[in-house]
Amino acid sequence: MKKDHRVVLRLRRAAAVLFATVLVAVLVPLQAFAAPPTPLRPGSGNAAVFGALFWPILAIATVVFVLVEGLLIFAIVRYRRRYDDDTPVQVHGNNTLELIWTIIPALIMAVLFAMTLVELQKERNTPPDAMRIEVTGHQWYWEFYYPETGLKLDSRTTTSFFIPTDRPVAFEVTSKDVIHSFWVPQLNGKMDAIPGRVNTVWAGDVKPGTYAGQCAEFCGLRHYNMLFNIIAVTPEDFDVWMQAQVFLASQFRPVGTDIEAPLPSGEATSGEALFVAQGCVACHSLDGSTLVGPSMQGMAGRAEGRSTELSAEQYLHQSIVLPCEYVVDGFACVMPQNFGTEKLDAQALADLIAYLETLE
Amino acid sequence: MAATTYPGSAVTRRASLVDWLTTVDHKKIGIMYVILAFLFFAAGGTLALLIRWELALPGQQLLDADQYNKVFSMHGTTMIFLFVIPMLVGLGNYFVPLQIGARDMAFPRLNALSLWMTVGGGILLYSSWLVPGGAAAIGWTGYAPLTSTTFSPSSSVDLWAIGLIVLGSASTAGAVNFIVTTLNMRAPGMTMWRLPLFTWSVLVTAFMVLLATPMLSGALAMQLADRNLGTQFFVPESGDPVLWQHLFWFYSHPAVYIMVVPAMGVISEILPVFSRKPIFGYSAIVWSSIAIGVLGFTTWAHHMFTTGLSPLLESFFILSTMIIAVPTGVKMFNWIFTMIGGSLKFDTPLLFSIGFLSMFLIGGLSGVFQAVLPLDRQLHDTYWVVAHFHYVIFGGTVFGLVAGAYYWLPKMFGFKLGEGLGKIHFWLMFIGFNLTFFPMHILGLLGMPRRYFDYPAERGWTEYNLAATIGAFIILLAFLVFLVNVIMSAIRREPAGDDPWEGNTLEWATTSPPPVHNFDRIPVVSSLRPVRDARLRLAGEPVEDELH
Repeated sequence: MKKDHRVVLRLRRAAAVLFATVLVAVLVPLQAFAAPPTPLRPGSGNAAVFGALFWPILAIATVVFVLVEGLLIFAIVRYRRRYDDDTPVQVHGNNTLELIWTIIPALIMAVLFAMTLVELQKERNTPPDAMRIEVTGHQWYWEFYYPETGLKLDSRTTTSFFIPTDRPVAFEVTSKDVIHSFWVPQLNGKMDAIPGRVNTVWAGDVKPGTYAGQCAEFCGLRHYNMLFNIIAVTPEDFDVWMQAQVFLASQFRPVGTDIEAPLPSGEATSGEALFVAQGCVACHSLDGSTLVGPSMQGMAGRAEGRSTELSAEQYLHQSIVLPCEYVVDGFACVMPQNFGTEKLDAQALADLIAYLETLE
Repeated sequence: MAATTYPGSAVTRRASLVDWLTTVDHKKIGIMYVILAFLFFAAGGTLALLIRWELALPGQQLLDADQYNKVFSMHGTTMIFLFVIPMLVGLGNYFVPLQIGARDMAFPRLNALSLWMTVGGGILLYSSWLVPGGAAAIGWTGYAPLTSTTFSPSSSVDLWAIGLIVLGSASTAGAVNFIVTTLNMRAPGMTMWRLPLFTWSVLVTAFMVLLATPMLSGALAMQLADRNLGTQFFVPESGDPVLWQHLFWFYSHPAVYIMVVPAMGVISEILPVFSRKPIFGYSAIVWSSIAIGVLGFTTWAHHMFTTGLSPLLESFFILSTMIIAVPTGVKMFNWIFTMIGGSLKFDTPLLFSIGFLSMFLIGGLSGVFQAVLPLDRQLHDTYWVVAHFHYVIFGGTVFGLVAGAYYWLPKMFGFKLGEGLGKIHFWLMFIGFNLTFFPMHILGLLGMPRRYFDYPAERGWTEYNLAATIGAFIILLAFLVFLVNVIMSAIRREPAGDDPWEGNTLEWATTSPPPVHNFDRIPVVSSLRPVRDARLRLAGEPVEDELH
């Protein structure tokens, strides 16, 4: 009985992983990040507002531009000085003309103001049936929390965050450190992620597709690198993805912080992938240059002999799960301390260590 | 000719270094401001070229992310606080007393203090490159809580804040000086409604500086207290990081007009002279400057449309931002109608003035898009905004300043600048400027955020970035031509004469350069264009009654 249960579990796990893999492979285009994330190619009703206002205003602006530059060019061509003693009529002004070019722009502005308020009204209230996603900005990644299922993902380990197309989605945006700005141009305008506040931005009538997102408020060193994709799929596909993610998350057993814990044998190639996926590259270079933390160049040679009590493997193990135990001279301990408690399982940690030991 | 009416006396003694360091003469102080501003323009321009070099193509080119963030932060800070504002103060210092027929500023010692505090503020800001960790990487906006000791432990942020407080205090003192000078030191007959438009623009600007700058200084002092004394003004939960943005923009939006209005004043001086016509609608220009000065204080939160303002505040700031476009539009038409019906002589100052009109127009129009909140939510903090404010500050103010340089350098140094090289300078700058900044509108529409060290090739932003980088180096070439022109003209020393352009205002009624006391006899003014009147009288032509 007990054995059967384990087989079923293993089968379900395999199926879920397969589903998730196929889904991502099919739905995420080959390019990691979609071509220009422009609101002029809207993926939602909210983003379509941009075009609805932009094109008419551009038309008005073009008319004004042509008129004013035309007048300027007319003046330049028509009134160039032909004789040295030209003395034009000394006109000091014209109240009627001046009144006209005060009133007409004022009227244009009044029309624009009305147009703006009308469109703004549509945005104001988040639909009550919207699916909530809590988005938290961190230096320098986004964390997505789906409260309905308790799923938590972050943009260091995946760049793909799924939403369903059958109902509006409300992103409740906040920050854990400095101010960021959550922006998926094809879904809606940006919303600042401010520590201590929650701002909501929503998207309805979402079309299936991949929508690139990014940080739009300068937030420090790797501000440019907070990229992610929102992938809008049918509710059925969304449910499959969600079940797979929830299942994978439930299968996850963090390795913990005990450096005596036995590890399986590691696979350096998976470790290399993890080094990128877990965001290690953000702070540790491979070429000897110093980013936030020490470079990993030559780690294979250096890990041995760092400590008299620890072997190379144990030293690396400790440095990942308890990064503040031993800090290399000239650096502060700013590394997240949750790699052992939340982010890596025993296999992943073993893979990472195996990879680091290959770095000459 | 005019000098025979208001004779001046030539400078006979060469000034020594000690003279320059201890001077309280508004003209020497003005020249030192201009030189200081140009030095920092070279520094800020170098930083701009580093930014463009880095962004030319995807991937790392020249800098790393940390260096890049420092470079763009110091580029903005330098250009605003150490180039544009000191340059305008320099021209104001030199020409306001001359234009109103005064012998100096009202408080010459305070004037010298402002100059040397500006030098000190610049040194403080730039010394931040020397502290461990290098200059502050916080943008020119220094948003909390990125500026807290948690996220920016380096003391460069303290130097940045102290430097800006020193610069701001210098500006505030200078503003008092300009206001008192303009109100109290005018020559007999120089009523407020005969005040030259450049002087009017400096007066309006001085009031804005006086009311806005202390707000910035206060906010910076709070930031310093948060960093060093454990206060929590801008700390999340116990304080409010958004409060910083309110205080910062309460200064920094008026600061945009502080940077633009005097350049508008320069244009309002040049257009009538080179059109041989009075300015079209003098009082409309004055009132629109005053309107901009007042309304400039009502629009600050349009920089904060993405922070989650209340609906009422959103509507208010949309409306106020749209209203301020009206007086700006009024000026535009008044300038063009000054040229229409005139007799235009296309010397370099007029070319740059036309550059101002055509480029500032684009900056004004793109600003209207940003007033429309649903558009701003998309355009905010993208390259669209970078394009917009460079069309205003570079296309507007810098073209205006260069126009002013070609117009007034002959008065300041007594020799003419080469016209041929001046025209090459203009065309290179006009082409380079548009090639640099026009594609940025498209980059913004394509979703490229500003302050990005790097971008993936797949985003489709590469071509526009490359174009912008090429344009930036054409601008560099333009300013090298300017430098060569100034040096060659200084060597050639072709005398400018007292009044090389057939000017209207009193600075042309004295020698080039003017004597220490400006005028041997204080002129008496009876119209808007006293020097033109004197010229006509001397030629025996009738002088028509002017409106004011």
